[in-house]
Amino acid sequence: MENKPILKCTNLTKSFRIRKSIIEILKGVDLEVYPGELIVIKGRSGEGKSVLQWLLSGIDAPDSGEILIDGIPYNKLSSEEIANVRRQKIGLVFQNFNLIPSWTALENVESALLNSNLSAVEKREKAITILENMDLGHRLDNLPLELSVGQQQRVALARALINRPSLIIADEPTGNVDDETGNEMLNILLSYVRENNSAMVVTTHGHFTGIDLADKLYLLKDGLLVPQTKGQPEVTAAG
Amino acid sequence: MRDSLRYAVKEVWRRKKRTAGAILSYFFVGAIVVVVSSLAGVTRDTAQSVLWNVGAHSVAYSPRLTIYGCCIQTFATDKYDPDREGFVVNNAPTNIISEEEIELIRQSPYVLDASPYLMFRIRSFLGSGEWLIGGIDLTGHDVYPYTVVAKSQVVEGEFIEHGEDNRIMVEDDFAGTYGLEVGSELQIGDFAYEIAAIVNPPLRPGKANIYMSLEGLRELIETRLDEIAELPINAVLIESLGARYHDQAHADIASILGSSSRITSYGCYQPSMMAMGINDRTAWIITGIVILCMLLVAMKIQYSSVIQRRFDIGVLKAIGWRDENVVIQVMTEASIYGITGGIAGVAGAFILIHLLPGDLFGDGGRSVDNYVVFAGLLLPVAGGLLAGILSAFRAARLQTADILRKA
Repeated sequence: MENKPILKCTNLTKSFRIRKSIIEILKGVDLEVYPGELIVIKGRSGEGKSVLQWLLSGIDAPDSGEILIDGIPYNKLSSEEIANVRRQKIGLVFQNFNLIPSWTALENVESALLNSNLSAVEKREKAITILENMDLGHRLDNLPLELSVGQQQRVALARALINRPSLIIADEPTGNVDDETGNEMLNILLSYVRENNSAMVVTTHGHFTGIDLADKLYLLKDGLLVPQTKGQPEVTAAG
Repeated sequence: MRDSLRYAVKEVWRRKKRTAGAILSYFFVGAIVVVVSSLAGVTRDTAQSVLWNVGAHSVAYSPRLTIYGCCIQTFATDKYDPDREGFVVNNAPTNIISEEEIELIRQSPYVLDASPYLMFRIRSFLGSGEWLIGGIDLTGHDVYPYTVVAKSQVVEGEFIEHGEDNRIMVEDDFAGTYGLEVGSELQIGDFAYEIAAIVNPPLRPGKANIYMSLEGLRELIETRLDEIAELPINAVLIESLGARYHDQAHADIASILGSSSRITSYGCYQPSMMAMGINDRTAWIITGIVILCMLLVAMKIQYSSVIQRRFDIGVLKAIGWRDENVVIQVMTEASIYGITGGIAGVAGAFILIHLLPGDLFGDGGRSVDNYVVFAGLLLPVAGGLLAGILSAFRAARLQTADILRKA
């Protein structure tokens, strides 16, 4: 069976106008992500990791270049279509979890099913099931602030995975937790990737605990993605 | 859509402080609109009710353009002095006005009441001058107090009543000139009249030296002329519908009595109309300003609510919420805030109005017009919805990347 990339982006550029000057953040990023892969993109603060992540997840649009998700030209769709593709195909994991503070754990997870075709009961059952799978069955009605950091993170993961996305995009997923919690979270994500033949792209400034497990490692520097070899010193775009 | 509504209701319920703040603000919007508009309306209505009747009275008559050759002299008895006697108003000889004409005047939509009045100048029986006698219809018309003489203008004695055809009232200066006193008799023509009162009316269109009943004066005139109309009337006392309709009333009267007719009126109905206009405009301007301010407050509340939640909205859009989901949620919240706050505000306004001193509301009592209640309800709801629409579209337009970048 042909192994098609889940994500393929070609020559992505993105720049921002800050006052009168134009800052080029991405200068031609190419990336292919295949099923079952864990891709780690390292980079220092300000190199454009978040920008790349938002482009890949359709939150922001590139100035030029193309992004294909499961063959769909993502960045050429309408905002409504992008929202639908994002909900169905992409699971987003934020560094700070970004849970809605006034909603319970269950409501936070359920909110990712908003535009699905499931009935209200089915949505609820599905959200309860995934939270129970993450050992949060007893904390369904707790608000995020009533949960530990680890529990909050599992709620965030449940929200990201509930639509069974083919691509997980995670921003420094273990950056705000201790090693044990980070490992626990990594196991959940990697298990999901392997079981569902999906893929995961992680951006990190270097504190990602699963960096050694990456199938491909890149360094984002000077607006370009530079392939890296694990365990070796960083090689910059300039060489 | 049902899910968006459900999340909106949850959001309203969970964010109790923000919900309370928003509803309280809409409460004030509704309450202030009702209270201020009611007070402005009461102030306007109270002033209008006073101004409405200012200058709304007049005396209409039809001057006889040629003095000589008139039919009346033809029927004069030998007691009649054609040089000094006759039907006059404002020193002008007048024609007789028929009962039908008075009835037509009463039927004008701009005329509240019309009362017959008779003014006859008669040769003096105490000196060489002449006396002006006013015959008042005392049978229920209330126009004469404003155009001829009122009970409150009795200096001494008592106001004559209907049927007292042999009693008269004399004007204060007239009484002084001829040494007349209450209770004494005054001979006029063939009749002796008891002086019932000395009166001192201010400037009035129908002012005379002597006042008596219409029937009494008619009886007196009959002794001066051989043949006169059955009910000789030469003036009509008019009360128009109000100062604002005075000109229309005059136009109707002129069309009935003829183009040569005259109407003597208080000129103050014109400034009164102006004052009413100013009053009316002021009340509406105050209400308008209040409504505008409150609308801006409502929009600010809603807009602030969206700004405060921009991060949440950004996250929800990032996980797949569509713009319409955000719009529905924000508008539902705005509606809940507006409707709840508006109803509570109107209820609060009613309570406040009943706690305010009663004299603030004048004779009309603590009433609140239906349109004010409607505005008090509509404004928070409409303001909330309008603000909700603007805020919702603002929220929908928020760039998720910008929000997350600034988080």
